[in-house]
Amino acid sequence: MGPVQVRVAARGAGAVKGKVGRSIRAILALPTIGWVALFFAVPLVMVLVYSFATISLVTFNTTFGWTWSNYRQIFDHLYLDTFIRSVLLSVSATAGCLLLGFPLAYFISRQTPRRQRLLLVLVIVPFWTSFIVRTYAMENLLGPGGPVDHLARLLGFSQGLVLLYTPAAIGIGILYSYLPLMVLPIYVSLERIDAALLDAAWDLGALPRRAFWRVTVPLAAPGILVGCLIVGIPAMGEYVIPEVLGGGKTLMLGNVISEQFLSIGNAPFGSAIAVVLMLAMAAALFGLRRARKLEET
Amino acid sequence: MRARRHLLTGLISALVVLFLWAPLVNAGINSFNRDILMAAWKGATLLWYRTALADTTVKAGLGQTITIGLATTGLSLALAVTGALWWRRATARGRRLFDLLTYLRIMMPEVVFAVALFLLFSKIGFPLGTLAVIIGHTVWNSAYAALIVQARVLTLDPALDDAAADLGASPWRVFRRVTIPGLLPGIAAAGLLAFTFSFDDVVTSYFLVGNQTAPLPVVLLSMIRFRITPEINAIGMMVMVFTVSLFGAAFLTVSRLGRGARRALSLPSLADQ
Amino acid sequence: MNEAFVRLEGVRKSFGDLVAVRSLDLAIPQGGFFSIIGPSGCGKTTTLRLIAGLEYPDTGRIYVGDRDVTRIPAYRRPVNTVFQSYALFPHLDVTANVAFGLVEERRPKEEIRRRTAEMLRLVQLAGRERARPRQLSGGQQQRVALARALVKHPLVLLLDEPLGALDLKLRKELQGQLKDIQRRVGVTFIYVTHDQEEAFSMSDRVAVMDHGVLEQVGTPEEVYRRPATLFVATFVGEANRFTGKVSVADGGRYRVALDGGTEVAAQGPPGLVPGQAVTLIVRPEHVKIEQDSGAGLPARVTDASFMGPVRHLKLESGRFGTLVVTQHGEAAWAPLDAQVGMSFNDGAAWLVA
Repeated sequence: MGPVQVRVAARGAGAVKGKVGRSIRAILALPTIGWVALFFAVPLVMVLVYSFATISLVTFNTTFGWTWSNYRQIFDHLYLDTFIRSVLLSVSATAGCLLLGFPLAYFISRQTPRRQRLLLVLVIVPFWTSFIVRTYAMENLLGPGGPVDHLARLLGFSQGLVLLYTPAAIGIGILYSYLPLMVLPIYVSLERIDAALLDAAWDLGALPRRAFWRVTVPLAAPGILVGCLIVGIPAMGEYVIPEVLGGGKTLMLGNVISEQFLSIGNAPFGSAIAVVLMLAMAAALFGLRRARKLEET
Repeated sequence: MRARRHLLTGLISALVVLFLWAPLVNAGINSFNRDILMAAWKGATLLWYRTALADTTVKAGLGQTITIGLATTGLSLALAVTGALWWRRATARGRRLFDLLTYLRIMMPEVVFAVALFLLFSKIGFPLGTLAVIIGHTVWNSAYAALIVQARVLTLDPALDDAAADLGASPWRVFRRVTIPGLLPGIAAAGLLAFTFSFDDVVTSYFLVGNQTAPLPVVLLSMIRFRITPEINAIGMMVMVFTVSLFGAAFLTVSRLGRGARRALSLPSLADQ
Repeated sequence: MNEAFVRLEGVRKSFGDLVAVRSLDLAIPQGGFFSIIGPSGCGKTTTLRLIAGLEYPDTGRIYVGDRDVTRIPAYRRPVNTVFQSYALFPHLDVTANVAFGLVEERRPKEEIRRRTAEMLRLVQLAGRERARPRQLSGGQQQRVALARALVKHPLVLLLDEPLGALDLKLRKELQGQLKDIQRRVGVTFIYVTHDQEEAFSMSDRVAVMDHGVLEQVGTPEEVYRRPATLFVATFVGEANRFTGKVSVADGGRYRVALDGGTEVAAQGPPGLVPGQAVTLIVRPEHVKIEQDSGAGLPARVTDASFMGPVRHLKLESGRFGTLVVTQHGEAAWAPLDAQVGMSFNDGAAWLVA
């Protein structure tokens, strides 16, 4: 039975039937709905409302108006750089993940099931290490005296290469942290491709390379799309990585938000940036729906 | 034709896997390195582990993390199981709306969510601290837990409920003797995952803990801002072993959930909206 | 006409420890409908894939036309396949699927369009050009797979149990259509199936395989009337078996002393010698039943089913074991437990070594 049929069947066999059953069951949904309403929906709505407010940084009095000034401030040259940098870093990290992750996913999908499991474990286990551990492990790697520095000296760069505290470090850090998230959905998509389809393509005269681009890649498209979205969108809102690898400068949107709320106390402006990130997330949700529709073929 | 060599992809794959593991192995080795600057290998020692285990901030942080983790796991499971039980018999439309709430919580950038809750709490005067962190963690933890339990719910055969009823079990008994045991693997997997996510969490904890005892990840965050010390490496190694074990256990439990559940988990069912 | 248009010589293929095809020598004539039948695991699908170029033989050579194609990969052979699962590309519509191979040939757009439309008309799918595979029924998908392979005008078309997933009525309908299309197009069809009836209804010649070995090749009638091995005799249709020894040999005519007692006349392949152990094969429709149990071998009816056009009977004959009998027409009814006399004509018995 496919998932849809199983669901319908699961619904049909009710232990308690009728009106009483329905009310009892409705109560079951209340805890979640209540919690989400109170601690998820309300705060986010507050953020939305605050994004249109203004605040006096002298008196810290918030005036609830309906102004776009906070949003316009994002494009103020001070913050526009950060905005663009967030997008650029996110995009390059995603591209890097794709370039490294696709071959890996492809390689894994061509192995025997036993080797596939082993390789997947090898890819996932680093992801199971604590996020903070992964981040500072990167700090080890990119800092002075670290392997990258040593390697650069070996290659002839007398001053070595300390990438730490540069935007490049953030990009590499994001790539490192999120790479498994790119590999897995692509692997799932590739693995689902019926082997007979490749046989058919070869049988019909397509050279292996042609078959790859005409059959394998289009059918892996949903996985690629999902991978790019679950890497790219969260990457834009990253806080820890830029904080640690960027040296405490407010290099990405996540850091700006934190600074505005915690240090400066400018909730309206911080909220506006947060809303922008939420919009990016909404775009990602639509993209994921698209990926699912693609998968339906 | 199938057994073609994949030299190029194989090479890239090897390099990528190396890239994934090298920093961790490096950190792990250095945690035993006697050299405080970690510039060269100066012999093996357990000094840093002893230091870490003696560090009061670290110990307090660990205690806080475990407390928060257990609390949020309990709450998240409660929300997830009740939600899943409702979801099982809900209409397609109801499910779509419920799922939307679940996915929103998962997809929401953590920074946005954390500051939003921070904003709410500061404006209504709710104190930041352990309880605030627990509440925050539960919001998104319950979403992940819900996904897993719901996936398990899908594999429950309704015919079993009918069979139990036919054999004389009242709805409550059916629930106790058939439904709950059926859900148990899903609950176990969800619980392990929830605890690990909470254990590992930085952003929500950082924003909501205020001045109270910082959970371990936040402690680490402040430590690594300044300088990497071998002590950090030691803490990191211990944390790593712990989280890998937990995730590993969760993974093994999820593998036992059944094909239907695994299929339901591999890609979000957003198409049903 | 080339009698050995497709040739396999000494072909052997194994997968790890499993030998799928052992030293196969097979010659397939040009332009006809050729079937390979056998039970699951007999190597028929592997043979097909070897001809397609999707597998390479460990030893031996394969020829298509006069070309040695043994080491030529699938995408360079003038051979196309209709897969068991159809293997339609889910991300392409019907037209794009059918045109796939022509695009690989770098044909001009106009030619592709024309040939695709023509082929869709041939398989009666005109009007569904824009449909996606998942929107089509099983029978329609099968026809798209057929069109996709045929549109390239291959020298040989390979069909790997393409009707397996369809219900009986649809299968029979498509069998007729396939046979029809083959006649019209004239391409050599090589069809693989485990269903002997299906193969017989469509084929000019049939090859029977078992455990990687070719048991017999011939027309359906040859294979049925004159099976070369015991396996063929029992796989193709039903057979009553009697063991015995040759007592007299005279060209293709023999007398056989049955282990149960009597001596009967039979036909068989040339070369059998007196004293040789053989198995006598009698088809159910050749067993005659008399109500007088004295007329022939005594036997008791243990099962009787009325099937419509025929009756199936099971007889218990003591030392000759269980026999199956098919009665046609309005022959006298033999009810359960009746004692009857069983016999068969001289010409009805066939010997298998």
